[in-house]
This record gives sequence, C-alpha cells and structure tokens, in this order.
Amino acid sequence: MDSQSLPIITALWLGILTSVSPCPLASNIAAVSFISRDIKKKSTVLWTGASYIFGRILCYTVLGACIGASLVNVPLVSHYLQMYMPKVIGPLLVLTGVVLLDILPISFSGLVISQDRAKRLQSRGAWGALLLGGIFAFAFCPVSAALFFGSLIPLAVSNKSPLLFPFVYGLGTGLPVIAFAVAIVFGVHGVSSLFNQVTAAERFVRITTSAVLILIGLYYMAKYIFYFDLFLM
Amino acid sequence: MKTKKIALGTLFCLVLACTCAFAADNAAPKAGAEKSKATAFVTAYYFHGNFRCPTCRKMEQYSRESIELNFAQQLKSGALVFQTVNVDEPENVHFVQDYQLVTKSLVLVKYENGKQKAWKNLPAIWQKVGDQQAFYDYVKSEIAAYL
Repeated sequence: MDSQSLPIITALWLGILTSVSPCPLASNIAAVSFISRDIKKKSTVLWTGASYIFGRILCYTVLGACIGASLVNVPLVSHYLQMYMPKVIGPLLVLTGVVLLDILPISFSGLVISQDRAKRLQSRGAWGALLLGGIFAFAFCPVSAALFFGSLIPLAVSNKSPLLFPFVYGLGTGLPVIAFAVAIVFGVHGVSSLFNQVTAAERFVRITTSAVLILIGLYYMAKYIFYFDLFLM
Repeated sequence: MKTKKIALGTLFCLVLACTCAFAADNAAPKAGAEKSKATAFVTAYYFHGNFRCPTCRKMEQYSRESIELNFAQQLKSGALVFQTVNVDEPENVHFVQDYQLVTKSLVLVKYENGKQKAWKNLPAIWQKVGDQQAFYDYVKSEIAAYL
C-alpha cells in the first residue's frame, strides 16, 4: 500500500467509525427503515440507498470545500450544527412516519409514499432519501463532530484535499446503512417470495417503517429538545 | 376521520411542546465562570452543551476525578480550578471561538495577574476515554506540565 492511499483509507474508516458509533445509531436505524421500506422493488431500494449516500457525501463535501476555502469559521459551524440540527431530526422523522402511514391529508414533496402512485414512488423516495441523508449528515453529535472536525478535517487539510477526503468520509458514513438496508430487503424478499407473501410483507414493512420513524423521532425530541436523560446513546 | 383528528391533535401538541421547550431553553439560568483568588493559576475547563452524551459525561467525570485525586493541594490553594461550562448558553459561546472548540473538550488555561497567558486543548481525552487509568494519567501529566 503506498503512502497516498493510506490517508484515503483512514478517511473511509473514520466515516465507517462515525456510522457505527453509538450516537448516530438511532438516525441510522431510521435511515435503514426508510431505505428498505419498499421490499417489492429491489431496484428502488438500491436507488434510494444511493440517493441517501449521495445526500451525505454532498453535505460533507460542500462543508469540506467551504472549510478548505476558509469561507466558514470551523468551531462556530460545528457548534451551531451540533446545537440546532439534531433538534430538526425528531419532528422531521415523526412527520415522515405519519405521512408514510397515509393518516394525514398532506403532501410533502419527496416524502409522500402512496401505494397507488407506484411510478412516482421511485423518484420521490430518492429525493426524500437525499434530503434525509443531507439532514442526518449535518446533525452532528459530539462523537461525529470529534471525528469529522477533529480528525477528518485536519487530515484533509494536511493532505491538501478538502474535497476528496470529506467525499470518501461521506461514503464511509453511508456504507453500513446501505449494507443493512440491502440485506434486510433481500432477506425479507427471499423469505416472503418463498411463501408468495410479498404484498402482505410489503404492508407489514411499511407500517413497521412508519412506527420506527415515529418512535425514533420521539426519541430524538426527548433527547435533543426536552433533554431527557436517556442513557441509551 | 377520527384517526386523522387524533393524529393532527397529537402533532399539534408535539409542535406546542417543542415551542415551549425552545422558549424554556432560552430563558434558562446562566452560569458564570468561577475565578481563583490566586494571582497565578490554571483553570481546567470542561466544555459541554445542553445535550450530554454518555461518553461526554464520562469524560467530565474522569477529568474531575483525575484532578481531585492528583491535585487536591493545588485545588485547595487555588492554584488549580476545575470548571464546567455549558457553551450552549449565549454568554459562553465566545469560548467556542476563544479555544477553537469543535466538540466537547477539556482545555487548560493559564492565568497570571488576571490575564490569560496560554491555553491548551487536550484532544486525546476522546481516545483515552475507553481506558480510565490512561485517561487519569493523561490529564495528570498534562496539568502537571502546565502548573
């Protein structure tokens, strides 16, 4: 392995480390649920997963570019992203979960999932995943802020590569989520096809997805808005 | 129809509760920084936010314990002060800029005759937090070198 590739692998590893660390775990579960909700179409899951990763990559790369060009004050950006972005996640997830259940007569572009709009589902789901990936990327918690601003950015700066390193890091943060989502979809699809129960399984997955998103949204609200002492993550 | 009304009502209550929480957040009592009576002293600041993660709590606890265990005399004489600061409180935001804080941090600040002479961030607390003794030793050696 040459000395050029080692820092890139470190950047990828930092991304994976961020994704599997305890504090973004709840948002990752929400992302896995959101991406893998449409078990009927495996290609949709792959598209949605790719959009989710792209959303994360885009945010980290733009942030890296701004830092590289000295357009932003790193400590203050880190402070305000940690202070405000996690507060957005809770209400957003609750709202997404409720909309997915088709309870509310509201249409949110990019987030609406309706069974009779199958053709538009793919592109809308992809936009929703892109948005979700971006918001989750910017919702820094103490651990992810330490890894991104404290480890990745100095690495990127020392290697004079403020775009490539955040790009690779973003890829790393999305990989475990996509791996889980794909494994779930292919697993559930395989089992349900075996028993000719794909439609029934799809309904079950959709309701479960909504429930997971609402519960995680409430968890985020309790933790980041009401500061309940939740020792889980 | 009834389900929709319940869902809308629940959402409205959640929005209201969030608004109240934000308002209460801004009206929270503010904590000021303590100062030592000694002319030359070191303050070990542990900076945190409103949201306290388990790792962050552990780092604060280990920092406090290491200081109390190894620098009891200096704490008593005022040569060393341990101070926790919530940087999410508006009057403490300047610390973020002053000490280039990107996450929860332990920072040593040297004061002489009421003026700040030097400061040092101890970023390795994030790597040492998994090993209590290594954390204690790291904080001890850094403070000993700074006093």
